[in-house]
Amino acid sequence: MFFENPIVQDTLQQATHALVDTATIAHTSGEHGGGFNFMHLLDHMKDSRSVESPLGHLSLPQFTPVHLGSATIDLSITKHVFFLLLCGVLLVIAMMYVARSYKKSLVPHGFVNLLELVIVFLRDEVVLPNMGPAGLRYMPYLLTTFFYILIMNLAGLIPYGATPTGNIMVTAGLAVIAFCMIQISAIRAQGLTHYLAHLTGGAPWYLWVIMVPIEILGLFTKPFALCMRLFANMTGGHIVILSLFGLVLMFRSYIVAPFPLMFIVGIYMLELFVAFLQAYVFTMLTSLFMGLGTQASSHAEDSKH
Amino acid sequence: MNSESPDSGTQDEKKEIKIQGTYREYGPYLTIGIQLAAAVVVFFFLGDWFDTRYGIAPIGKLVGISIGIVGGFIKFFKSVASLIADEERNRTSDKREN
Repeated sequence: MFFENPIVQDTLQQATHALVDTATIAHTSGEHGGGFNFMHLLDHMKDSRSVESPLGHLSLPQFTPVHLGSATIDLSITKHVFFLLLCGVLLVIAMMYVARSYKKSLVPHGFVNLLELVIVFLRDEVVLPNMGPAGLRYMPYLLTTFFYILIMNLAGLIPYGATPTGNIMVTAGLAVIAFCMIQISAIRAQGLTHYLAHLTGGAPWYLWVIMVPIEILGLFTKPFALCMRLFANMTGGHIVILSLFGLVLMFRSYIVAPFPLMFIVGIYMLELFVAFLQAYVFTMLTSLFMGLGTQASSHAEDSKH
Repeated sequence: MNSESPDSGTQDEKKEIKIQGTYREYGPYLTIGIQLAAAVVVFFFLGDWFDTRYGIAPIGKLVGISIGIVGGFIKFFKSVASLIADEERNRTSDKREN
């Protein structure tokens, strides 16, 4: 419906033309620069139907698309889906190891100690200040979000790896879950009636026609910002690193090569930091938005007294 | 008085708490810009849909844009007003503590 709109189609067409022009310029400059095509570097970031490995490209299993009404859903495993599942399995194994070690002894050692440090930090510095003691029941969701995003962010920094969070569909999926959790926590804390009353934004009844849709829109902008922030941060760093690699391949000079490489190491370190920071920011903002619902209910109780 | 010379550990702690506090304080307002823009865009497309459905172009688009601008601005204004009120409240409580 949205994509059938002539204005949207016009904009998409113009964007496609611009993209093709850019790719053509990049390709032409590549031909003059000794056969190097910068667009090939960007292929590394795109989703594909094979994964890179020391043995070359390994094809992933493909399934026949499923038809649901007019929609066609392709459930084939792509590079990002593969890493999404791999990160999930790794996370489950790591957490099972942690849970088992606590059964043996309550005193943590090594890796378990490190994880406990992170969990306690998230509980004391993120969940409790933002949501209060009521937020502790949402700790399992918030911790899973943090560790899953972290491990996915880090997956792109290992050789032959790919960052699932560099795919907007993955971050959109995470944002949809965050949206559901924000609404559920708000309804639980305020009750459905107060939650619906909150959607009027405190405006007089004759403004409800305007304000209710705006307030409903506001519910979606928060997870949308979460989704875009994570996606843009994870993609941005990779593009910078690949662009610097592009300089090495473009100049083909031993004198020039060390300088971009130095920058690449610097940006790589920054990416390492950003991987942790973005996982923290996503968790922090989700708990903050969830906490706003709880605060709204306590404000309402205060005003009653 | 020695009470105003905390050790470095306490200063780090205070700095950390300040960063956390800043996020908490301004977190709700991080998306007011997107909300203002989204209100105009969404209502524009809603108006456009009405135009195509009932053949009343360009009234639907004009009404949609108007509602988007007015509603988006009211929401923006209310958010900024509540931010200012919060800051005023914090300033008053800080003064009282001092």
